[in-house]
Amino acid sequence: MNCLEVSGLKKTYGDVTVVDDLSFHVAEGEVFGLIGPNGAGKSTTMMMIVGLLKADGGTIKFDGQIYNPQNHEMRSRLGIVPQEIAIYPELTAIQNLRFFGRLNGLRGQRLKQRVDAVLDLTGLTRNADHTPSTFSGGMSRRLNFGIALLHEPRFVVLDEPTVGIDPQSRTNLLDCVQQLSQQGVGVLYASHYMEEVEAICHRVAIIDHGKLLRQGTLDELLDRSGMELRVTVASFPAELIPKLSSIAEVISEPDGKSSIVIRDTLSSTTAKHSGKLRVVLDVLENAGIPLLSVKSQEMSLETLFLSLTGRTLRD
Amino acid sequence: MGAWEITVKDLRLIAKDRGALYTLLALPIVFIAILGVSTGQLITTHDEAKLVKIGIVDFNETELSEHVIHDLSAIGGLKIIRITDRNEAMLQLQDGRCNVVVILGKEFSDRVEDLDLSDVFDMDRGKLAQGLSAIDMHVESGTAFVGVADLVQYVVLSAVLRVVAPEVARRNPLMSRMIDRMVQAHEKELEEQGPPDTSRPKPVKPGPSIIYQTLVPAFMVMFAFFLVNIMASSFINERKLGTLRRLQISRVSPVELLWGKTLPFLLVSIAQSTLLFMSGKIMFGMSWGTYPWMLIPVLVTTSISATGLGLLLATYVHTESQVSSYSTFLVIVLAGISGCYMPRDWLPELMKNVSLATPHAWALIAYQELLTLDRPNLTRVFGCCAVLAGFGIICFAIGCRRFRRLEYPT
Repeated sequence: MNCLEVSGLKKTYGDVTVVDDLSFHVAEGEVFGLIGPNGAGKSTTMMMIVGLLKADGGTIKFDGQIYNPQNHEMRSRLGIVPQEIAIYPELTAIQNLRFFGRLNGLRGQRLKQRVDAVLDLTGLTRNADHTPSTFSGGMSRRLNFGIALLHEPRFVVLDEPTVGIDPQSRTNLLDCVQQLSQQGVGVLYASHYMEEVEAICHRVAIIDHGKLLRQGTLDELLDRSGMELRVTVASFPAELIPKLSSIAEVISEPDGKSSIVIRDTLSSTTAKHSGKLRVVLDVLENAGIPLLSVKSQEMSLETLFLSLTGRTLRD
Repeated sequence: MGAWEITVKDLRLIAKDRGALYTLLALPIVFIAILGVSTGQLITTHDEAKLVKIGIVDFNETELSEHVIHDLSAIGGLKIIRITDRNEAMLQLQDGRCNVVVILGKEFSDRVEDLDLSDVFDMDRGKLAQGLSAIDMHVESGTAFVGVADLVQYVVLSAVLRVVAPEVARRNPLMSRMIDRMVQAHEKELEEQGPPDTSRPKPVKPGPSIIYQTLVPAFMVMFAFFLVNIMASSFINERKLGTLRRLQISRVSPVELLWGKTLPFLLVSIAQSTLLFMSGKIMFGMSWGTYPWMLIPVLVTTSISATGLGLLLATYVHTESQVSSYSTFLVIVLAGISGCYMPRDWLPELMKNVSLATPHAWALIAYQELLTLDRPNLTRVFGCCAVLAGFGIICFAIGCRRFRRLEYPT
């Protein structure tokens, strides 16, 4: 069953369309990655999903019901880990947890149990009585994450939860996300870090300029895009470029060399790659251009994103 | 319930923020104490500082001269210093220990004995046309009063006449009988009126501390509105930290959230005002007026209007610098318009009317009524409280509406 269903979501500011007809769904226990560069519309999408921003079009459903942010019961099914560290630096970790726990309706023994459980989960038990001003960035991020889990939400939205974090805390957080998934919690995970997304997400949506470019499982996305072949030569005459333009891209490298890149992202097969490589090698041989190297690179989310948008994720 | 959690949390944060605490609680007291020192009215020195010190040398030493001295000492604002030697009196006048020296000569009582009714009722042509010297009295003014020496002479002469005139009148048998009859008629009239009503509250005690009756409430009202700044900053901080989003997606409704953010500042404001009134009483001998309990509704409604305004401001500002500039403008300008910097009675009529657009003015009117009048008009005070509460509630309602529109899109 789907925890979250987003359909035809749209947001505009004046003439600028920030989110354009975005549709996806997240199943129970699924970790769904939302990737895109800065300004792609990820945070806007997330704010609309949690009800902090009004959508100009489309629908958002939780457990099959249209989401109404005014509905306390529906709202309490949600947990959000904002990009910023949204905790009170003057209060201790346990005071922060107790405060947000009470706001979400936890009281007495139940509150105590949940606070203890979250401290344990995030590895902050020993620092419970310390203020976040004494914490490392990673510890603050873990507390930020833990607050969202206090009331045991059925769906958690994580917006860049590992920015500026140490490796130990990153591992802890990713383990926590996987635990949530095992408990049947749906997770929407936005990140710049492709290795994280590849490690924990079951399905991924790639967005840019507010539009959905691709979505599917990692296997589907990466298989579909296939491999990249890169042939490097000392220099490649401009008059020969038209001969290869239909099958490859010629790139001038910063060191003065030229690379001929064969990149089929949709339905290429190894056989097709081989055919194109043969054509490139023939052109080089006929022109007497010496070959410096031939490299093959398996497609990653990073390279997939580059092939889809022409820019890297961190641009 | 969520509102109370937010209130407790904010009170905890305010308690940890020493700067905010200092601004809200200590600064007003320090400020008023400085004013107290500047005006020479702080603690025990206040009576001394403002009293006119009169040195009296009595060479006459009769019942009549004693009567005159006793009457002078009963006049408020004067301090009578008895001096036995004329030279010593002049020395004290020179070095400022005395402001005025009054000398009753040896012939004082005899000269008074020589006066008749025409001298008292026709002072321009009778023996008293020469002034006080006619009854062997001499007045010397010190440097501080030299410009008003004639006025001082006149005041002393009036005080002396108050004692002397009945004595002179009684020496005339006709007048004596007439005075007796008038006294009897007055006593009968008082008997018919019955005993004085002891159930009535004691009136406000006049004296130098009356300045604080105006000063303390004026600055209390001004400082109550200082929390507009801290309140708006608290909202900005929640936005900056991202905790506002967390509050918004919790089970707390927008009204609960705003009530929770407002209540701690209302409590702090009430504590601030209470502290100021207590300091006023302890440090400056300030009176709480005929009806001290009536200060409570004025104090509470003033705090309601200040916190309402703070909430409204919080929905308009987005940066710390906006908070700083808008709140400073509000605090200083509104205080100026309303008459917090000077007694409202000094304001021109137009300004008084304009000032009624500010909550400060209504608070000041209510405090003035309660603290400076013997019989305050309680209906007027309750009216002021209603305006103050209404102002706060309207600001809160507009603030809620704006907050909902800005932060809770539907």
